[in-house]
Amino acid sequence: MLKTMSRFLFGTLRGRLIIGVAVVHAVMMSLFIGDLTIRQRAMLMNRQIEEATALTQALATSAGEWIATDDISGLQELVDAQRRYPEVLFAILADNEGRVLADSDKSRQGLYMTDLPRVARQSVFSRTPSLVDVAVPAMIGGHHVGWARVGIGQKVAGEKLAKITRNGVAYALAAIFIGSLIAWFIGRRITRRLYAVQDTIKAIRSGNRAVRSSITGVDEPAVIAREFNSMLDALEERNTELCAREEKYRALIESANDAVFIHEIKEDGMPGPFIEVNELAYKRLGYSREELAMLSPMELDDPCYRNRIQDAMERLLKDGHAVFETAQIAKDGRSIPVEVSTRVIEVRGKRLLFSLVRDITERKKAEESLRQRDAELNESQRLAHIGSWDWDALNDTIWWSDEYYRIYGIHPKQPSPNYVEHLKVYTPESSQRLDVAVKRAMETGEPYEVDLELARPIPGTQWIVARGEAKRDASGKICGLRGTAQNITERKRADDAFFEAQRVFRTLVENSPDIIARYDRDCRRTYVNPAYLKTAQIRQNELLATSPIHRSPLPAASATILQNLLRRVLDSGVAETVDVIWPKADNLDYWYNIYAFPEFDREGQVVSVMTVSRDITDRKRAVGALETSEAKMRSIMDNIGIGVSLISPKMEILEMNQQMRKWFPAVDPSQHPICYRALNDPPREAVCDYCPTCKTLQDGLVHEDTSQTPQAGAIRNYRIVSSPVLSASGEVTAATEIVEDITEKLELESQFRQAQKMESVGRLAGGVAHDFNNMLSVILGHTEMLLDSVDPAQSIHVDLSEIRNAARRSADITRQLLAFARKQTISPRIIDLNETIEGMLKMLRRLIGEDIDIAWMPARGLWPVKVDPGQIDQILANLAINARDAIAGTGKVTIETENAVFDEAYCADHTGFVPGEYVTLAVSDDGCGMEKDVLSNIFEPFFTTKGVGEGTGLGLSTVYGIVKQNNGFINVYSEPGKGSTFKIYIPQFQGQSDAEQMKALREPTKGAGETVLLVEDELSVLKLNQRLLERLRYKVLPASTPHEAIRLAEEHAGQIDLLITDVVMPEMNGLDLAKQLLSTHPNLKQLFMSGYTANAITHRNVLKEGVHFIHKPFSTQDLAIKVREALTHQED
Amino acid sequence: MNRRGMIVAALVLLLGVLPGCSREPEGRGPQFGTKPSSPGIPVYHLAVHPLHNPTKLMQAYQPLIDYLNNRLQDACLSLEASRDYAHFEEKYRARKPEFLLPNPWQTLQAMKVGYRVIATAGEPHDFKGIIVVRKDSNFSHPADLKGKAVSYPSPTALAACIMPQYFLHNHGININTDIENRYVGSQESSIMNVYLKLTAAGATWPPPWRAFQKEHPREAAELTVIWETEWLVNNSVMVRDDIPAQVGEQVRALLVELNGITEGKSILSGMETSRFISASDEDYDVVRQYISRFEREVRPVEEQ
Repeated sequence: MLKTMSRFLFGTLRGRLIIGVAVVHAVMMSLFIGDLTIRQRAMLMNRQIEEATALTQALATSAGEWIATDDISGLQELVDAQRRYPEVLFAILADNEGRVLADSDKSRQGLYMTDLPRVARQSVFSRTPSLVDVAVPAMIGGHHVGWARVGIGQKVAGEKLAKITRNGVAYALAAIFIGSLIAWFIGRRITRRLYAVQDTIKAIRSGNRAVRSSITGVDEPAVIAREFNSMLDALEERNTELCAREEKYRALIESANDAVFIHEIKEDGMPGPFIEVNELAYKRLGYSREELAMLSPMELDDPCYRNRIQDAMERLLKDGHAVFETAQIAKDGRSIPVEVSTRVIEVRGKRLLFSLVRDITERKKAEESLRQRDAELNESQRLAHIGSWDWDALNDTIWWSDEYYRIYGIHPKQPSPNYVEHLKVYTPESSQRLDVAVKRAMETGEPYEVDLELARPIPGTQWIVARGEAKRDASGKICGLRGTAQNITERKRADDAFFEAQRVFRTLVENSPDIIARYDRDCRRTYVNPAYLKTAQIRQNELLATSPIHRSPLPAASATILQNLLRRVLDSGVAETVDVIWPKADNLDYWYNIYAFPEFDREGQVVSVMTVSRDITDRKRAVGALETSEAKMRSIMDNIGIGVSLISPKMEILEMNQQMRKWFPAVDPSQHPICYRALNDPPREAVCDYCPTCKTLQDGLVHEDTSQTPQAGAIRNYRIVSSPVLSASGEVTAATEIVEDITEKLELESQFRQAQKMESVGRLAGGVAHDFNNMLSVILGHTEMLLDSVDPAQSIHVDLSEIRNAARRSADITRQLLAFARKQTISPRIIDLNETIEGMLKMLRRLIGEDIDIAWMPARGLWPVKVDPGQIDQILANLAINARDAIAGTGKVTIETENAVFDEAYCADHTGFVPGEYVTLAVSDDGCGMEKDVLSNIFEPFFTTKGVGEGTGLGLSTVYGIVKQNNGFINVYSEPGKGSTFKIYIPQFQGQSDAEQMKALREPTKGAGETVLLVEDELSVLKLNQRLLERLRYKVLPASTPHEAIRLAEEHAGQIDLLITDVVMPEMNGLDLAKQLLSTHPNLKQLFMSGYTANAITHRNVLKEGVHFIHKPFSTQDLAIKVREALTHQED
Repeated sequence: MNRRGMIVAALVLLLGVLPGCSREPEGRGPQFGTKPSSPGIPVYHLAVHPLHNPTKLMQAYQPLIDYLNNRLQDACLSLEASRDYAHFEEKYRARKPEFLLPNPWQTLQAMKVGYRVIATAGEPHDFKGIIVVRKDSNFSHPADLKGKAVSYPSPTALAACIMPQYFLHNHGININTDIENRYVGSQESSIMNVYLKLTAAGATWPPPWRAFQKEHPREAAELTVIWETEWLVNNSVMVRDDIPAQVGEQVRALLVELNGITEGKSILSGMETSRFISASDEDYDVVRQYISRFEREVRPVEEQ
């Protein structure tokens, strides 16, 4: 189709005319459309540049100050504001170094614009319709501070422009089409008469030789038509003559007995295309005449003879004739051997080849058959290494075959020797033997066979076997010999090697310490070696021809195993091994490893089985011991409670003990996973930084480190000790990791540290408070005495009252410190917590104000607890005040009680909980809650989140101390904005209920001259208390040490009614003093006083009930009451 | 090429040209890199605390920068203004600028994040707070400001806020309850607030007040300095601790010699600064003590 079209357009006048007109139209329209588009584009571009410049200048002006201040967010707002311009592609603000401060594409912030001009001037970087890119320097006060850069596209205008261009193209194409149509009509008119001539030519070519053009007139087509008609008439006449000549020559060629080929000679001297062939030629080759005419002679020739043909052609061109043999390839592929007789002839000055080709197939077959027989004989002799010879005794000449020459290493072209010369090739001994044999054969006609050794061996040949037999003439007389010679050197060597091997193997087998036996297909022994007989203590004839089942030194079970083994090897032809027990005379079991392997015949059939049995008793015992040891080690490793794993130098996990598998159940060591991937969740892609195993694998030393391993969304802490596994040569072949999970340990350590810290702080606070209390006692006492002695109307009385109040407030603080330090002196009682709390509610409501609601939710059937009710008051007051402070404005405080039981399992999961039965007191608020870091410090003394003067920081410390002093514990739940809950757990009182109520204190009364032994190691306190007691009309025996008190008691003649003693003293504590004095003064009443009760006080700082105690500092009234109470108290 | 080929080529060219008219060349757009196009010598930024608005700051300090850049070897300085005091403090806390010109309180803060003092800017006696009021106001005693609004550049401006507030405190005003403190971002704003009667008094310090008088004589004529505080050490010039020591030393030397040459005097005059004096961190211990006293007695500086 394309070809036709092309031929029409470019091969005809009509087509060229159409193309010419179309091209003219296309060029004109294209120029017009192109010019129009360029002008419109230029106009749009100018407008775009103006817009971009104006916008950039505005942006630069706005951004100057922002750039100067490096105000990124402000600049970004400016840039973002440019988005309202639809054609803005980008807007960028940069500093004077080109660093992007703000960009419509925020990802470019911080990059540098590398194409800005070096000086601060306005620049247009791009002027394409898709982008106008303008940069304007941002200036402040004439100083260049940065750059504004804006890129504007031309999407809408560009689309319009494209539409105009498309329409122009469409118009241009339409113009080309119409022009072409007009051209087609014109062309058709002009070329019509030329086509009439062309029709005449077509008719002649199709075989109508009589047709002539009928165009008339005087124009160019008419002249061409007339000349064409004349030419046709002349050609017709010449053609008739040629046909007659051709028939004559054809008859001659067709009658020839050989194939005739006539063909040209090409410029290179080779045969050219066929001009003529006879019938015999194309029929022999299987072609039609036309097919043969299409071929060149070279295509007919067998390629194998191409060189021969080339030689023949050279001879032909030189001599004018040549005869040679070649082969032609028939159409069916047959190669036909031919003899070609060819000659150069000249016809009308043109050199042709005239060839007679004769089929010589039969002749060739006969020659080939003969040649093949000779070759086969030679090949047979070569394969068999047998040469043949023929000796004519009359003429003493010997004929040798090719192989004979090869065997003796003689060149075939060398003349064969006579009989005597021939004998020299052998050693003298072999020559002699051969000569004897030859002479006997010549005499008797008997054939002979003699092994002969060559005197000078050639490579691969040393020994020959010569065979010969007599040859007789027509009269039956022996006229010579003929025979063969065969190279038997290899056979000779093989025989020697065989005998040597046999000797070696027999020596080996008969001297082997292993037991070796051979069994036939019926499993009967056909051979046993001496080791067998020696081990079994049996004679050979007793064993041979018997099977293990019938006759064996082995026990029945082992013999059966052996028998089965033999049967399997015989059946399968595959070697196998078994271990059997062989008890011996010493009554010990010996282990033998029997290796049985088949023996094959030439056809590959198993003809027998050989067994080699070796004593492996020692090895078996060693393996057993090793397995036992390994089982023990495995058991130890699996039960030591720490993880153990074996890591390869490629960080693969090779082994894991039970603990490791328990920690990492998803890890399968048999897959040899990479440790840092398998043991981390999510997996790591590189070796852990801290990895001690990695170091051990590198330097072969023991390393230790701790890891924080992500596992199941949490972090576990492991202590890892890595030690090397060394090869015999000292190379590190692996590393053993000993892994200990120290997560809980670290947690406990942290708790322990916190507890220690609290304990230290408590001890410090307690110590300070104790000494401070003593001082306060002095201040308070003296102040009260002064107050008593000063008229209240005097101004100094007011000042003294202030001192007393301050001292009391100080005393309150020290009491709180003592409570925290758990050294507060308390008088616990068995109480119903609900009742105690209800008694406090009124006071609590006053304490926290009206805006905060108190919800009281007592539990029913609450267990009794043994606590000093005053301490419960302290706890509630402190927690309520904290709750109040946490609530801004209105809120709610909830106080709840309940019974709670914690078992071991619960406590294991809840840090800080202690198993047991508890009464819970919970105080919750809906206030601001606490941050985690605040929570961790709230129980520390003087830690407060309140403002200066708003809290002492001792409230929660006091609560903590009280709870700990009562063997309870406290838990706080708090989150910022969600309030706080303090839960206090006090152990249930397990003893019998004690309903005894506190007796109401009697009115303080003065003494009646009773004797009081006062013991106090602080002299100022001693003097003060002495004065107080004397004022109360008691007789005082003051003692500053316990020993002094004992001495005074001993020396005092009268009754001592009361002992008032400090508890903590250097020589002896107050309780011991009391005990000692009771031995001499059994009716002695006791009153103990202390700033705190240290370890000397019974049962963890708690006084026994019934023991009278006064807390320092005390007032005169307190002392009066306590002394009276002690003196009048009735012993139970 | 034969004639037929030439005709075909011409046709193809022609048909190719027509649609080609609608194809537009693509713009390349801005080119970006991770480094400046001419990264010859390192550029260091000198951030000046917002004494003035950015434009004015540029006018006053750019001559100094140009002077230094003409003389510095292997370094170049770039002036950086700040929107307000908070913005300036944010920058040095983030250790962004290599050089600082902070006020004394900011000097102490900047020391904490690794800047060190190389010079002070101006005479110590020039570093004092002044309180400006309108001439038509009838204030005669600080107590007259009770219940009124007072403007300051920022709560951390030492001369223009901390010192005036301490002054008022010492004159019986509880600045936390008796007056309304307005922190307006810059020295000029503090003064302009008074002029515009948005605040009854405005705190500032001498250089900006002198500059205001020069640039806005009409507005300044309606204002008067009613009280001055005691003086303290002046603003500092600081360098970040990771900047090569020789660069810091070059800057220090050039600044200190500035008042000895004619060009330098002109530059200093434009900055309302008498001279630069070589100094070190220890010179600001007096400020630390002052601040400590202020915080103890008046208010914490940073929690405003």
